[in-house]
Amino acid sequence: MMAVLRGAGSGAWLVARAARGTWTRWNTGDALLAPALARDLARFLWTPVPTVVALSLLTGVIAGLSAARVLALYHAELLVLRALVDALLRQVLPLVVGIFAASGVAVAVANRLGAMSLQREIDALETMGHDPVPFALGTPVIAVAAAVPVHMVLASVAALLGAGLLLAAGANVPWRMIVGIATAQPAVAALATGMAKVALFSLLALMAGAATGARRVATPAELSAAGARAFTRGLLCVFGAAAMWTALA
Amino acid sequence: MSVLALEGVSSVAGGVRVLDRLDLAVAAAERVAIVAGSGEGKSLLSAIAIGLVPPLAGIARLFGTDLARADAAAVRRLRARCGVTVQGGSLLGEWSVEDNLRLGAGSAARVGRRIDRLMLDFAVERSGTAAVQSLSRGERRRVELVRAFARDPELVILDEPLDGAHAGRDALERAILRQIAPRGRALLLLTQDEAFAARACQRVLRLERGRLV
Repeated sequence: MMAVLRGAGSGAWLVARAARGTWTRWNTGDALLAPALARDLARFLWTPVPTVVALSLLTGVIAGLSAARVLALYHAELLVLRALVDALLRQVLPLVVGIFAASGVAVAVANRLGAMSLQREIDALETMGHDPVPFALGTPVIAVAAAVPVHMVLASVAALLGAGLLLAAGANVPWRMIVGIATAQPAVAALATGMAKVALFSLLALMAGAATGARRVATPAELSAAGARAFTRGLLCVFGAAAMWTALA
Repeated sequence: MSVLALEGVSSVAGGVRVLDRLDLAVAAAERVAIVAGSGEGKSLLSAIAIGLVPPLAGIARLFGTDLARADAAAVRRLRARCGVTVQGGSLLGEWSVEDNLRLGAGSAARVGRRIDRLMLDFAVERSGTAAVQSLSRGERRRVELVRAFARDPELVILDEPLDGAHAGRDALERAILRQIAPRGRALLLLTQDEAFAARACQRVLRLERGRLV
């Protein structure tokens, strides 16, 4: 228990220090911030998009298939569709994107910190009188924060499209009804909740990666082990937070 | 006043006492070399001198400030007045050469001109936009030296600066020395090369069994 609290505290402290240091770099007009941010936006925002869309599309197909089977028995289109959209946007997609964040963000951050430590880049930054935390973690924090709404919106569109295709083809549900329910106020509220969950999951994954990667590594084997540890911790954080959110909601 | 002073510094590495009640003072504009074999504690001494590693016992003062009593931000400000190269290299691999140099010196126009001159002096002027990972070991070493001098440091700590330089070793040595003595910078040179130490420095000390003789 103490180890978990220590890890959470160290992760939160590192992320906060990175955010504060990056704000200072921004205010002082650090010319190196923009290229580093561009690299991390590509890594954390754009590169994962095809995988997020594919995973969400498949999730939508699975949900649509199940809903089409239910509709074949009960013919309660409105009720089933509303429940499906709500479950997808509020519960399932945040977990899918969250798991992806846990695997991608936590491992990438832990590996980056480990590699920087292994190649003495942390020492190099310290030697030049820089705080290494904003340089190592600052731009990933911004990139992950920017990725949350983009990934969640794209995941929602892909999942609803996948589910809609199955429902239209398998249960003869009209597209107008699917679009109407997917764009109604309850669906927007569910999407906002889902986005808040993904933001929390991504932050936790970032913290897990930072706390794991902050430990010095001396060999490439230790670096690879740190990546695996970061993935497991990130996943536990995401599922723990999801369970607590559901219990408290 | 000494720009660097180590008073009774002891330290251990891997369970072995590497530095044993070591005393050292480097005055402003003074050039001091420490000659020692591999694994004798040169790099550890360099890390202690700039506060990267705390000594087990004793006091390390940089520009008169006891590093153990100063907060992290103050220690970083003191380090920013030094130019340091470490053995084995320390360039940021994801960045270009120019970005590494601007990281060391800032991005003001005046600093940019100084970096251009240093790149010419150290024969890396063609590598500006190259990724660090594409450089040879010798080129990386020269870029590190440019970075160390780019900030116009008061104290320069060079750990095996000629490491990896085979062809053009003499030219590199001359380029280093041009940046030290005429500009009144203090130098702490850590090397295995006694001849280079004697040519570069006013005082040459030998690190033996953790003590300077």
